[in-house]
Amino acid sequence: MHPDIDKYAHITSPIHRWDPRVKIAFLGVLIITIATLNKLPLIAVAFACCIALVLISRLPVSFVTKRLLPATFLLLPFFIIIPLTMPGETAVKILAFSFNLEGLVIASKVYLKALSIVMLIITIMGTAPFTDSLKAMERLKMPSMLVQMTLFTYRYIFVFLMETKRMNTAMCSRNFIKKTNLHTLKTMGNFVGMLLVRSFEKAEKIYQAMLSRGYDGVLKTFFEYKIVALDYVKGSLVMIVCITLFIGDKLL
Amino acid sequence: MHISEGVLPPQVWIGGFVVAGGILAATVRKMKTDELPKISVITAVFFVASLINVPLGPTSVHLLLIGLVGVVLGWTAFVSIFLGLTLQALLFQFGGVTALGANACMMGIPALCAYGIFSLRKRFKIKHREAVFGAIAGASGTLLAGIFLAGFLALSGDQFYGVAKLALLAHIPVMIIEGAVTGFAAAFLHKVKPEILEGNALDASRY
Repeated sequence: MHPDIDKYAHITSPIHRWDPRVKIAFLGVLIITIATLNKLPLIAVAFACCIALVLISRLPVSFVTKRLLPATFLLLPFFIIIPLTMPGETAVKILAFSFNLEGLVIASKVYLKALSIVMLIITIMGTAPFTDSLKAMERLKMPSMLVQMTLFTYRYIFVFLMETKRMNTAMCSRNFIKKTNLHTLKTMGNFVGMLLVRSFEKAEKIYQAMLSRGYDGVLKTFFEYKIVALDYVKGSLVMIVCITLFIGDKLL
Repeated sequence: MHISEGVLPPQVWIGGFVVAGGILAATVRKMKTDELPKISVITAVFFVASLINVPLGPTSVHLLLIGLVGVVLGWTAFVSIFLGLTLQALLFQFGGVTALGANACMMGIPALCAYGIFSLRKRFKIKHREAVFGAIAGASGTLLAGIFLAGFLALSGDQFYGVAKLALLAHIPVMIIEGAVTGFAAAFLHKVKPEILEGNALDASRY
């Protein structure tokens, strides 16, 4: 797994051209709406809408499906565990186990909701460079401190990924093989410790470098966003979907 | 060990955000500007370290390091864990955006507890106390996270009781691995750079 979520941020599509602030705000509302849905038919509609959005964004299908994998596998056991453990009358006896069919409905609700939201996050984060998305979040009044820290952490993840790779190569060249034993655990403990020691020293140097470039706790950017009417048209379309889903869920 | 998107009902995930927001506000207020980039850099290390796989019989588990975050960062551990989870949700689609608050409580509060347990070591005059208390902090941090996870699932309705029980059981082997790795890492840090474990680790990076 590699943190290259914005690998396809440079291609063009109606979603890519959408102003990041408007995009995050309106798709954020859609995420919250989906998270509150209760009825299976409407969740299915929401799922279809999310697939449509992913297709509009022109992100490669293989890229999206690869990123959907963790959510897909994590939730698959729900289809077995929930029906087996859920109390209820609609249970079907198979051998010694009672299999509750209602559990399957619940599992599919959770599953479709999760996949829909994950697809939306991929669409939001995948269609703009990560730093642009974060700056947009700051403009949307998210706490500046948290946004800045997320940005710094993101920057240094890549540095320490290289560092771990280097340390790993060094360990492998000394014939270290991971096994289920105490020696492996001790080596991993020392490995993490070493990584921390190095990072503490690096953290101070980085801070000095930032100070010497005039860092004073405020994030400064050079480019300005421009919102055009089309951005709001796209936003209203999303809003209509949200309201329809919300009312449909209450009425059905 | 994340709660995924779509599992929790609104009242639980909104509640998670409220609690996490409260703890964040309380800790961020105590932070100084110079700590901000440093905590970020250390969070990046924990983020990368949590991608390391440790073999466990036929399968493998990845490190959580909840306890170690607490041991090293003290009060600011909650912020660090919140950041790590945000990035995991945005970059890897692990966990979820709506479940972020609940996930932050589930791992952040145990990290603070681990810090509390680890700072008790000073009252004991035993050999290898850093290793012993590191191991206890690492193991109990993981156990607490498991209990939180099971609790959140149980709060979400009867249908998740089975999942909650299994999730708690799955934490037992992870607990042993986490305890050992945290213990060894704490012993290593004590030997190599003891200032890191003194609670004012961010000042210790000045040299």
